[in-house]
Order: sequence, then structure tokens, then C-alpha cells
Amino acid sequence: MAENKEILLRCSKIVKEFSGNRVLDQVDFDIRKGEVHSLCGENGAGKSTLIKIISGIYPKDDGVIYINGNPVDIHSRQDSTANGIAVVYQELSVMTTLTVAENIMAGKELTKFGFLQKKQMNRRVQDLIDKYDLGLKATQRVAELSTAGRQVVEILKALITDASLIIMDEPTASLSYKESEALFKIIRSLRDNGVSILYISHRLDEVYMLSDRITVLRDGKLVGVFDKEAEGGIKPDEVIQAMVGKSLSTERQKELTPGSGKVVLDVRHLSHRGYFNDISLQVHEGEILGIGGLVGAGRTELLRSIFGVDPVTAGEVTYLDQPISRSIRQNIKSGIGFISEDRRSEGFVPQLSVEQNAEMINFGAVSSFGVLSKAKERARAKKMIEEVNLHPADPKYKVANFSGGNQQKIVVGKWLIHNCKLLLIDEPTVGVDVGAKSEIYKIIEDMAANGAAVIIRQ
Amino acid sequence: MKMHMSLTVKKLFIPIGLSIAAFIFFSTQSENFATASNISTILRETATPLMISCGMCFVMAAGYIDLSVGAMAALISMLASRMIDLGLAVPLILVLMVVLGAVFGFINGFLIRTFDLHPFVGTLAMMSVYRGLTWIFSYRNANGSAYAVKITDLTIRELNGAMNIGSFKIYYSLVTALICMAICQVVFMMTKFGSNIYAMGANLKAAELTGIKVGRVEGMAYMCCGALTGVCAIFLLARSQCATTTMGVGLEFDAISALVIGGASAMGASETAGKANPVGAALGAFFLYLVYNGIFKMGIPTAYQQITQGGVLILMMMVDSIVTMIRLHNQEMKYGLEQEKIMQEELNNG
Repeated sequence: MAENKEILLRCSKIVKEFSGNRVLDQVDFDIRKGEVHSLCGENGAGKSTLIKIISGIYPKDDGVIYINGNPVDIHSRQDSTANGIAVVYQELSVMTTLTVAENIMAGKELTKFGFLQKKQMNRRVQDLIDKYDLGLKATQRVAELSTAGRQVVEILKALITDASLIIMDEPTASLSYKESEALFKIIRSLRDNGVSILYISHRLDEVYMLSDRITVLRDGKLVGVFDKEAEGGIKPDEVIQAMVGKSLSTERQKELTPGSGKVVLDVRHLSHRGYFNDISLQVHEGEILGIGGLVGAGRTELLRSIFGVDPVTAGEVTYLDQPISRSIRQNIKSGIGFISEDRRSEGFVPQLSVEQNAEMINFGAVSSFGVLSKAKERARAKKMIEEVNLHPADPKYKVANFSGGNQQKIVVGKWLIHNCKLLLIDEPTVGVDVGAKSEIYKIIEDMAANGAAVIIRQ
Repeated sequence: MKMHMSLTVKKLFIPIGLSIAAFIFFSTQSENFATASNISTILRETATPLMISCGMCFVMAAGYIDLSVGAMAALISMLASRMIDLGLAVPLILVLMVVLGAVFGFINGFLIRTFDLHPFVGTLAMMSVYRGLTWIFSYRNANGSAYAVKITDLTIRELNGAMNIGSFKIYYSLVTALICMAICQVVFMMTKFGSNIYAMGANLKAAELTGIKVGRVEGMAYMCCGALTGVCAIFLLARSQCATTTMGVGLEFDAISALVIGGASAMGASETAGKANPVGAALGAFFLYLVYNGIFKMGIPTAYQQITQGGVLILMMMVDSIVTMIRLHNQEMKYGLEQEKIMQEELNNG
């Protein structure tokens, strides 16, 4: 749209550091009026930090934000709302027991002589819904809506404040394909009504389809802006090139040699209704098998179903020539390990020490006749600390106090000393710095070299 | 046009149905149950817990709880008795009782908000504090043990009276309770304060993000709860004619029970429980005291009252949980089938 080249928001030389780590380095970035602008980059590229600065959650260390050409100070969410910026978060914050209108008008109630003007409020919300053709009823209870419907409520909350910029952070992460389509329609309708959208998604196909422009960040730096209007439009290859950068070629690559040892895990026609369908794979001793795919492709769910966390609806799995147990406890006993992608809530107990966390999967190894042996516990933890090179190397230290990378080393290490024959890993390096990342890969490779079979989701 | 009834309204039929069933049952069991005077008595018994329920409604609808109300009522009564001894005018004392309630409620709310206390444990602790203070202000003999002293000014007794319609008595306490209920119902349905309370109960974080001043609303809710406890204390004192250290024991449980039987969720809001509301509380309280009275008239040990009260509460919560489980299960199945269909289509399309 040629008439909409006017710039709504401009960030100039934004800098943000976390304890000396520069996560945003002199980032220049702008959003035009009435455009869908996507922000792309790998994990840790600085996307969420930039959004949080724009929406007033983090203070910036340097740089200026201009709205409609005027420099503005955004120090809080109130400031960003006052400047017409609204955020639709991945975790929805709706009030399910209330109606759509009550959700949207909460805190902005219309009253007359102290009494609520329910009719007027319902009408105002309904008008807004109709204007953008959102297909909801103002008097509907939010509990009756699907996730997609609830997301629309969040968008409405933004629209009621007359937001001129709506930031959407992974809005399709929990939507079905059909629901996503409906959301895209809404996004286009908002754009056509002059609202700007800052869109963040890991699903690149969505990004190409929706965006008028794409800004790519890498390691906290702006590496490129791609414009649909530019000659040749947006080339997906170039965007990916910008996102991944040169690091792809310089990164240490393992030679792919299919294992020739014994088959450890044999998955045949495995399905979990609604998540994945008809998956067959084999892993051999000493082999590392990677599972690729987009967010929502069912990779996490596959690993969870194999391990026995989630159910399976069809197919079978054999582990060392025996049908795999559906009991997690039994699977751990027989040498299967599982590392969740959500380290914080599923990986460890933060209030407990390293040694207590290490002992958790195999109490038998550190106890005599069911009574905990402190000496055995300590010895086991020390062995683990040595093997994974933990900092600080203190078995009594609470896991909560370690850095992300070292926490992940504990999570991996506890399976290492358990002598797993099969390790299922769901994205082992979330929120882990580069140094620790390669150390963790090294640990996993060593485990494979010692004969373990590994399935890894990246 | 299809008649649309909200879940909260639907839930009101549970205490109504239970009451009718209990009424029919006890009428067949006891001759002097379904009499005008006995029904007057039941309604009168319902009145005081209803006042507290109305107050508790503000707190519970916002997702909090106040367990200190029973002890608070005792403390207010005791202080009022002391004020009567000091010779203060009765009307002034009545006003002061309500104000004291609001002040105690403010303290509860302030502590919970400022120090982020868990409402359950925080008000449990305050219950102990108020009960202890009641003893400190109580009348004690030389041995230091508290004893009941009849209040010196008996004008307050007038409030214990009733209007007679034939052999049917409408007690002033019931009239007051119903007025309180009506006012509170209007506040909940038609004011910003009421809708903010429901919003907080539904999702505190979301309510805060919409700009609702959650701290202020929480404080106000606790103050309303305290003030209505003050009103209740007036009628407790009027009825017993003396302030004792054991007054109002278990009142908080009656108030909470009445709300839950009336359709409220036991904590804040849930998708299957209705919203806490004063009318539901009135119906719930009526049912409770109907059962109490019936059990008493049948000559069954009063222990069965406690079992019934607890049992009905558990039942109400179970209904909510089961409905939630069924709903979740259905949603999951529906979602799963949809996804499968999409996958199948994609497979077919290559």
C-alpha cells in the first residue's frame, strides 16, 4: 500500500545489556502505519528483548524510540498503552468466567450515576467486533470460546484502547491450522483498517505469507530488512541466510554415520491422535538420531509418547527387543532417559541441591536397604560434576542458583551417571549460552560413543 | 427468542431444589416442622449467617477468603458491650460496630495485600488474634476466667423483635439481612466495583493488566466483609443479650457453605461454578438452616448437622469438578479428531 509509507514507530540505536552481555546492539528498526511487520531471528537473537523494550517491560540502556516522529519515553506498560502499543501474549490472560464484553471493558467500565451501562458496553464491544468482522458475540462467556476465540478477545482488548500497533508474539503457537487461517484473516483486516502489526513467529511460511516487511535480527544485531514491495519481493532463502548467518558453515558438524550396532529402539507406525501420525524409526547403539520439523509438527509429543508421558493411540515400540513399558518408572529402571524441553518446570527441582537432583532418578543407587546414604549420594554427585564440568563444582549448591547452561549440564549429567542405554532429548539447549551449548553437545556425543542410543529434537 | 440463562442463575436451582426436597422430607418426618412458627424460626436462624455471607461474597468473588469473621463478630460484640458500660448512646454504638467491622476488615485486607500473605492462612491467624482480643476485653472473675455479663442497656434488645403476621413472625434481623442482600446484589450486578471484583476473581493477573486497581478493590472487598460482620454482630448481641468469648464460632464456615451451596466456587471463580452472589448465599443459608432445624425436630443427634453440612459442600464441589473433567475430555477429543482430519487431508493431497 503506497499511501501507507508513513512511519509509525521508529527505534534508533537501541542497546540493551544483561550483566555485560550485549543482547541488542545499536538496533535500528521501524514500523510503518498499516503494515504487517515480522521480526525474525533464531532463539537468542534479541527478538523478545526488543519487544519487551517497546512494550515497556524492560528499560533500554541506550537509543531512542520515536512514535509518529516524536521521541517518547516508555518505562512501563502504562506508557506503552498510552502510546497506542498493545501486546497480545502467547499466554492468554482472559477471564474465562466473564463475558467477552466484560473482559474487554474491564477497568474501562462505562457508568452513569455509579451504575454500569451494560447495554452501552455490550453495544460498543459488538460494534468493534463487527467492524473487524471477528465473528464473536459480546455477551458470550469466554469459557465457551476456543483458544482462537480467546485470542480474538485479547486482540479486542488491544483494539478498545485504540492501539495503533499490536505486537503479536507467537500467536499461532497453540492454534490449529484452520484457526490460524482465521487469525490471518483478522490480521489482514486490522492492517486494512490502518493498524500496524508486529508479528513474531517461528513458522516461517506464515511470516512470508503475511508480512509486508521482515526485519531479521542475529546475535542482537540488525542484519537485514526485507520488503515485499522491493524488486523480486521477499526471497525466503535470503531471509533464512540472514537469520542463520555464516555461523552455519563454521559450526562444528558431525559426520553422519548410521549406526551399525544393535537396534535399541524400534518405533513402528506410532500415532497419538491429534499430535502425530504413523511414525516409524529405528535407533542403533552409539547412534544419534535427530528429529527435525517446525513448531507444532509433533516432535516433542513423539518423544513424550515413547517415554510414556503421553499416551499412544496406535502402533508399537520395542526397546531392546521387548515391548516398551508404558510406565515411566519402569522405563527409567530399564535405562531410558528423557530430557524435557522445559527445563525449569520439568527438568529439575530448583530448591534442591545438585546431589539431591542427581539422585532423584535412581534412589536405589544412593541408598542401602531403602535408607539414604549421604556418602553414596555425595560420591555420585561428585562423579557427575566431574564428568559434566559443572561450575561451581559444589554438590550442595542449590540448582536454582546455577546459570541456565550449568542447570542443563545437571539435567544431562543425571542421565549420564545413570548409564542410559537410550536417551530421548527434547531440545537440550534452550536458553543456554554458546559455550555451554558445545559442552552439552560434547557430553551427548560422548554418551553415544560409549554405546548409548540418542534421539535428539532440535 | 431463546431464553438464555447464565450458569450462575442455573446454579440457583440447586439450593432451591434441595430446599424443597428437604422441606418435604422433614414435613413427613416431624409434625411440628411445617408450622408457621417453625418456619419463622428457620428464617430467623438464616438471617445472621446471611449477613456474613453477603460480606464474604465480596471477598470470595474476588478470589480471596476471610476466615476471621466469626471471631471478628465476637470481638465487635464484646467491644460494644464495653461501650454500653461506658454509657454511650445506643444508636452511636450501632454505627461504631459497623465502623469497627470495616476497620478490622481493612486490617485483614491490608495485611494480605501489603505482605502478600496467603488469604487462607492470613485470616486464620487473624481469627486467632480477634478471638484472643475478645477474651482480653471480656468480663473476668477473680480467677481470670471469662463469664457472660448481661448488657446494661436493654434498648438494643428491641432489635431482637419481630413483626407479627398471624402466627408468622418476621424478625427484624431477617428484614435487615434481606436488605443487605438486595443492596449487595445490586452492587455486584450493576456497579463498577462489583464487576471489578468478578474480574479479579476470574483472573487476577488479567484484571491487573486491564488497569483495575486490584489493591484498592481487594481492600474494599475486605472492608465490606468486615462492615457486614459488624451488622451481624449487632443482631447476635441483640439476641443473646450478652457478649461472650465463644460467640460466632463457626460462623465463617456457615457463611462459606451458604455461598458454595448457592453456586459459588470455593476459591475465586471456576468455569463450571457460578459467580459468588448474595441471592445464592441466601438460598444456600436457608437450605442449611432448614436441614439443621429438621434434624433437630426429628430428634437426631446434632452431629448429623455437621455431617450434612460438610457432605453437601463436598457434593457441590464434586459436581463442579466432574463437570470440568467432562468438559475438558470432550474438548480434547474434539481437538484431536480435528487435527487428525487435517493430517489425513494433507496426506491425501500429498
